[in-house]
Amino acid sequence: MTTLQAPAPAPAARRRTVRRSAGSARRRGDPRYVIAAAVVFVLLWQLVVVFGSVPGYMLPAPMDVAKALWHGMTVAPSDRDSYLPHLWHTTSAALAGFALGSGAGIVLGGLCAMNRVVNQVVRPYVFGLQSMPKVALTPLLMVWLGFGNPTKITLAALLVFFPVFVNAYTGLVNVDDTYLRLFRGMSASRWQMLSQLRLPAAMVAVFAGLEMGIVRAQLGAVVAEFLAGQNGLGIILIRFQYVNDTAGAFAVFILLAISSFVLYRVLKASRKRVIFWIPSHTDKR
Amino acid sequence: MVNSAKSTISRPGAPPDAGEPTLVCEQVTRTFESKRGTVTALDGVSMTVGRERFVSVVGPSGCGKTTLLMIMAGLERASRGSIRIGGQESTGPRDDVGIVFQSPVLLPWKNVLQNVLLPAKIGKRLSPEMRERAQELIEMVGLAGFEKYLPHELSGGMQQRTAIARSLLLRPSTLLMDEPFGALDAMTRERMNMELARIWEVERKAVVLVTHDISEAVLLSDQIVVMSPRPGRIVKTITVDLDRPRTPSVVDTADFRDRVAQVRDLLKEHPAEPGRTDKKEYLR
Ligand SMILES: Nc1ncnc2c1ncn2[C@@H]1O[C@H](COP(=O)(O)OP(=O)(O)O)[C@@H](O)[C@H]1O
Ligand SMILES: [Mg+2]
Repeated sequence: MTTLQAPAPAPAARRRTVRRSAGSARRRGDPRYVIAAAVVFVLLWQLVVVFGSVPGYMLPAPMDVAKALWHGMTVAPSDRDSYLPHLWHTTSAALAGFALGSGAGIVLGGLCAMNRVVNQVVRPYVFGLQSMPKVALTPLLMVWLGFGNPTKITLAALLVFFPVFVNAYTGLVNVDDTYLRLFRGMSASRWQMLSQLRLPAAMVAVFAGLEMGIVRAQLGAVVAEFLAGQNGLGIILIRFQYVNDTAGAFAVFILLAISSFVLYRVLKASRKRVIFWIPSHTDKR
Repeated sequence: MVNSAKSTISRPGAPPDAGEPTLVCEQVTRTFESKRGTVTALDGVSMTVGRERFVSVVGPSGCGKTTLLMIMAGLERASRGSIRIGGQESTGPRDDVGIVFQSPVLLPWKNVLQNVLLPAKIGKRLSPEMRERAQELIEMVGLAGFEKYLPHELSGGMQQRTAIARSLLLRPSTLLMDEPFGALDAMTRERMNMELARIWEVERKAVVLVTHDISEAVLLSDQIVVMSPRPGRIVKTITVDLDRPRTPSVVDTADFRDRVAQVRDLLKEHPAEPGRTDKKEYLR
């Protein structure tokens, strides 16, 4: 990747990117292959269900899952069966947690990168927090914040915070020495070093953190719903499990996967706009 | 390639010195402390660069060339000794010194024009005149039409041309270059040498060029400072009095080859330390 952490697109580095671009068109995959693989997978799945005599509560037939998904997505949102309000609750909580966690991560990472005292006070605690299993905090969060959105949002934010913090911090700190020399040679002020060099240079790392964060945000929201939710996809997953509606559970799971993928893609697209200077063929995944 | 329309009269030999030299190093010593002891990177280096003189510094890797250049640039301090630029004691980075590093060090999110204008932007000196100046420089280094290109869309040679234009923006009296073409392939490098000779005819500066390419040094310089490693010392200063402006054909003259041989012999007498593998750099 062309970043300032490994800067100077010198000839050698350029050659590498060029070579990579030749392979990446192939590696990025032809959508036809993806679709063909999905069709084969679903067919195999159907065969296993039909000929393998697997009970429906263990492995529902693909058609049943599709039906459940279709029903859940097309009944009126006011209907008790509709997935839509739950999808909204989970996604909005995940997004709120994402905004909160990544905002805190960027601000705190930036402060640590800019100020030595803040860095020495804050960083040990942040790393201490990271080594804790944050999901295990959910019961406590319930005590403090109750059953509902605040708990979900907080857990999501906690999960998002760390990767964003670490990436923002290292992105701001690890700027190539020659660039720092260039700026010192121009007698740049601290503020100019930050705004003209460190911040844009850190964007690549920040986005890497955000991409990890967006997936974790949804994870946090769903886990909180399992334990402390009143609504959301996590809740209906649990409900389907109680009533052995495995097809419904599968449908919800697929819905979660799709929404997570969409969020990730949106982030990827905005990354491309923000970090316009990185040639798109060096994008991995 | 030789822009004789702009440069006035081709005059043989080097330009005459006028008054105080632009850059003076006096007894510059630099030591680095490390766990394994003290490394003397530079030991009592004294040299002067006259107004509009082109001086090259050659020497094996690790003999302190970069350190010397960074001290001249005010980006590294000397343990002892002093630097004077334009008659003033130099204590830090300054506007009238342009620097070209070995890598282009362009900001990847800024296009060619913005990169060339960076020193003006940082120095809060952006103005229509500056933009005009940047445009002229871009044309001079042969990048007209590429103003809006981002660095990753340029070849290594074009990136380094951009860096050269940037270093000239604020009309420095002194230009410091640290192996600016070291990362380029041999062909591009030769072309860039002639380009630099031409640019220097238009933008006369006091230049210090660090290089390990002997032909490059002879082709471009009025003087060549030959250094020995650990501690970094000046072995000898050789004057190159080939006619200017220098043309590509100069490399076929006996005078040129004599100078190259002379520098090469000096470097052989003061080889890199054992264990350093870059001796073969001199074989070209
Ligand atoms: N920051 C530093 N700390 C310790 N030693 C250094 C440092 N910079 C340079 N040196 C040492 O000083 C010597 C000269 O280095 P340098 O100026 O980079 O040489 P050159 O550019 O001629 O290859 C080397 O032996 C190097 O190891
Ligand atoms: Mg060097």
